[in-house]
Amino acid sequence: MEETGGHNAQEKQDVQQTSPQGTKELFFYKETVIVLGDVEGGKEILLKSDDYVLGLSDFEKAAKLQLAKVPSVEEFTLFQSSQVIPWEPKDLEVQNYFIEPMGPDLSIRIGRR
Amino acid sequence: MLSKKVCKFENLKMPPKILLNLTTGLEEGKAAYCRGLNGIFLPRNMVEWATENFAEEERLVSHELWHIISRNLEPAVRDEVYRVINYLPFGHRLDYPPLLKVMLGRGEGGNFANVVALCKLIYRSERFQTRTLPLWNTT
Repeated sequence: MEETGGHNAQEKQDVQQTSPQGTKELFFYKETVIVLGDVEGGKEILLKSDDYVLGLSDFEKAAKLQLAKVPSVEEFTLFQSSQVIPWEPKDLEVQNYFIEPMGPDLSIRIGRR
Repeated sequence: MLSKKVCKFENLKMPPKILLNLTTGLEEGKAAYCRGLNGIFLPRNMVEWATENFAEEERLVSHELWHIISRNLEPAVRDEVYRVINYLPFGHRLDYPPLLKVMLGRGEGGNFANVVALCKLIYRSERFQTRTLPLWNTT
């Protein structure tokens, strides 16, 4: 199934906004920032039966869950969403040695607001 | 690297936030991936690269950021961009060849060893007949 591009009303509802406390925002492109997401926001994305999920064959769904039977779409998305885990305090350092250093480079190259 | 492909677009439609989410990695073979219009999902094992392998991690996230950018492009523009690297719209979903379907129908779906063996068999068979590895469909 083909992805949909652009932002219509439905797609805007698919954009999660939440992130854990203590995260920094990296300006990426104009008004767009990159942040660490929280568990609930990540789960919400993966619980959706989007074009990716609906485009998977029965075999692919079974193989990804390592099952001999075909899981339902609901079982598949539930499993996927259950694998989202919280960023731990030590992970927040990722922002310092990973996300933050990328910022100036990406901003300069792509266009800081 | 990413910017060279993107900077020409002055008015990209982008979500207000791009979320970097952490997962166990069990759901997608410990690979990073994107979902929705603004979700990047990084498995724990890849995040731990960052301490010692910044360049690789930067490359990974740049790759995923491109998926976010392309997902937010108008379909026609996105197709045009992917055409640059010869990725063309397929027009319909892929399906498995009949023999593999039969095997999967026997409940072999979770048995990778059997499926890989069958794929190798199909590949050898196709080569013997001097045909290319099949990109199959049933439509």
